[in-house]
Amino acid sequence: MKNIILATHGNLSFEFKNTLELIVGKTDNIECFGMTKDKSSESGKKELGYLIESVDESNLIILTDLFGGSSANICMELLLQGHKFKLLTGLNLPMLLSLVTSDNDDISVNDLTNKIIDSAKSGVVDVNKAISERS
Amino acid sequence: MLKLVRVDERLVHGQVAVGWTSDASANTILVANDEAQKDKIKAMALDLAKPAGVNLYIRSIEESGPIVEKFASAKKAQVLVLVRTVKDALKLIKESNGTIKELNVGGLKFEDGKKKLNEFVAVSDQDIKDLKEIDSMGVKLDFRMLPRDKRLGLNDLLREV
Repeated sequence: MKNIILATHGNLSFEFKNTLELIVGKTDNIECFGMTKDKSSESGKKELGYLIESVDESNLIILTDLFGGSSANICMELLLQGHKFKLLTGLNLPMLLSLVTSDNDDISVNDLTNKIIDSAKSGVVDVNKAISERS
Repeated sequence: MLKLVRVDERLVHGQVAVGWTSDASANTILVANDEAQKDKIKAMALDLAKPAGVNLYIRSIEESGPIVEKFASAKKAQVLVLVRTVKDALKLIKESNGTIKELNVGGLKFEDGKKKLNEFVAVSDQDIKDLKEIDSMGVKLDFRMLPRDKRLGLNDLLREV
């Protein structure tokens, strides 16, 4: 099982985790970080850095909500400083569900993240178009 | 083979489409429901929203009996069977010639005239009768919302009332 950190604006990460668990049940490998209004970028960086350092980075996947957002920026800086975790942006529920249901000890971090990127994209559907193509 | 036969008032939804389908590695879903079988719109919506890589069949309870029997001995089809009510489950069990050995009870929503057995199972007196009949037929009852939840039996729930 990979270590997972959800890092988002506000409390989104915590709600992503709650909603995920509503669908697949309890998880024990997911930590959440929320960049809330009251946090300075310095304290956010410290908190997130602490979460990252407490796990094995070679087995760590961080999912952030927005490329260019503060959580993603903090993580990107850490990567530029030489950290080795895997970082994705554009977190959505299909991505997260795919991650939890596809993860096992035999799949590599890269194979897994390639897979969940596909899931994240194919989870965006123009339903009207799907209906009109059907009929 | 039959991977799961489940009573779920919502039939196919997130917990089933993602949680159970992946847990059971199901490639086939049979919705045994008379209304859905007759309702073209409902059937089309179910088909459009089915999980990727899964074959979906929507049949009446009566039609489903022999289909379940066939699926039970099929090798390639990993099948998830969904019914909406306990009554339908009992009927399907009777019509499928003893091939259903286990019944998972997921969401049974509370409504007037029902009592809550726990946070996700609410039953009428008739439901309890039907569940006891299912139990007495040797079908193992498994009250569980999600694959990772603890399995509860009929006695576990009735004891709490």
